[in-house]
Amino acid sequence: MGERASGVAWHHGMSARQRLLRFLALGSTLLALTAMALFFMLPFAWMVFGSLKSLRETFSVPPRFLPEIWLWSNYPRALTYVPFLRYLRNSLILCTGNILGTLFSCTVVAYSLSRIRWIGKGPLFAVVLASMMLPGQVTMIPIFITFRRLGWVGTFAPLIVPSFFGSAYYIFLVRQFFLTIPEPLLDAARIDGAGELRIYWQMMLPLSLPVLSTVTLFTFLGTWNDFLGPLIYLTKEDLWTIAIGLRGFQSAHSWAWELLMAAAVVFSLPSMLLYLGLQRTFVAGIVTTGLR
Amino acid sequence: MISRKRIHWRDQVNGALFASPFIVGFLAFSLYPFLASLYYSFTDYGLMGRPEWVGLQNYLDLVRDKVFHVALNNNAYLVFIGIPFYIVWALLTALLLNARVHGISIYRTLFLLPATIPSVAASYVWLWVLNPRTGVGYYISLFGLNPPLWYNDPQWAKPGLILFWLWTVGMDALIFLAALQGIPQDLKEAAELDGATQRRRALSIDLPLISPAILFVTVTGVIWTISFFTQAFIIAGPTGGRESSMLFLALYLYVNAFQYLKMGYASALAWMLFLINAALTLIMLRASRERVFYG
Repeated sequence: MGERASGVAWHHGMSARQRLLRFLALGSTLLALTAMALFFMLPFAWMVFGSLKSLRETFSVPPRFLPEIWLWSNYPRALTYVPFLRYLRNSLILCTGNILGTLFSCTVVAYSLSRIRWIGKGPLFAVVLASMMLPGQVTMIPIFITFRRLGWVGTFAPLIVPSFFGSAYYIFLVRQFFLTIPEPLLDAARIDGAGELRIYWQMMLPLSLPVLSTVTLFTFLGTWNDFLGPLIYLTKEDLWTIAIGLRGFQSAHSWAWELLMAAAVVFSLPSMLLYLGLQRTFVAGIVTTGLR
Repeated sequence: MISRKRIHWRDQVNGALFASPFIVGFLAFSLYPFLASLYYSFTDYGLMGRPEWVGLQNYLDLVRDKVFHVALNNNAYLVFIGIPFYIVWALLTALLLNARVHGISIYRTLFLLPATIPSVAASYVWLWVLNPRTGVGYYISLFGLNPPLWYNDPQWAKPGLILFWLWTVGMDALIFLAALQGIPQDLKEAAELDGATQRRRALSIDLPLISPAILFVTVTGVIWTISFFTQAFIIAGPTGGRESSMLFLALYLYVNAFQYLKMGYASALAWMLFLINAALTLIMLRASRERVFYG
């Protein structure tokens, strides 16, 4: 389909039949593209327009696509219907904590696995790779039981503390980047008497800003969108993040759909903007971790 | 020069020191829980008391558990029906996005957009979109057809979820797109000159050259379906919808652990999930050996 259209569109040697076929191929491709674009856009448009409708309108039969009156007031109302600002604060606390923890632990470990010459380097890296294979469900329950014994259930701790102990995927990512920093550069510093800590802090980190910002953004998104973690550990409502706070719009008799959609739009914005702004980095990141 | 012996000693200490967060983390959050959950799976452990050893009883109960069978069936549906649909759909989408059409980058952004919405938000949206009266169902009824009840109908619930899943294909479509664009054009032109039809070119050149990407998307897709949780929780609730049509393994695990507080049984369930996961991954990797071309 796409192939024919991607060939030469028109050239003099073409017979009328060839031209017709090319035209049809192009036309059918465009048709398919538009149909699919509608499929991808409609639910999204539903969400956005729904956030601007009145509650009655969200369930009107026949359903109207566009709102009759554009109720921009749904947005401030949604932010007060549930303690949205508190949920926002909680989400940001978790994100910040995780970013700090991840940046610290993953860079430190990645440095050890890339540019320090010691015997554990190889074996430990193999362990890092192996631990990437471990699925969350198998470790979830004992970790919960441990946190419960520590009295940390119902606090932020279980969702922040683990990030200070490294995460295999990010360790891998940062290590790969560190390996591109030339060894002689570091050795020169060592000869001049610089300790490893100094080299880490004043050389490795400043030179790694691209990968550090990638890790920051990935961590932010992962924490912002996390559902299961807060569901299990944030048992008190005043600790809820937005992800689990959206439940506040549900109730036994009727849900505040229009407000829920408004809150959902606000909740989705960072995610959408970051992913769209950085498409190329994300895909490149996946491709380099070993498709070819 | 600094003596070689001093460097060696100091480097060992530094290496271990810098790696210590991960070493501690691995022991505390990977190795210990992995082994502990195995232990718990052989016990009866309600959170309030102490674990009591029951041997293989949990596993025997699991095998006879009808709800477990339903959950297994639900996940199997996703893996054996959902994944093929999804892969074909992602390939189709990538092929379309590869077209050299004016403004194709707009289409690429549009197709990616749904995948960037957090799954929590997207679940609420789809809950509404597939509402039989006021959502898509209304438009279907305009055609004189009886619209399915979607999530309220056990028969249509999982197809509804698959539809939702297809909507979020953006990222994987991009991966396939990147793979397609990596195919050297002169290879295809040479084949065309030699008389290969479009179909032959697609089967013998395109497919093998993007097979690593297909493997990657398939494996990650299967792992994802085994742990399918958030969407089911929001759309169906912890009970898993009408007739448990949306009760998936991860959801059942959650319910057993955090609602029934049957930690032992839940641990056995978790281990079953892990084994299923491992088995499927191994099978896929084995099957891929003949078929994936890493040229």
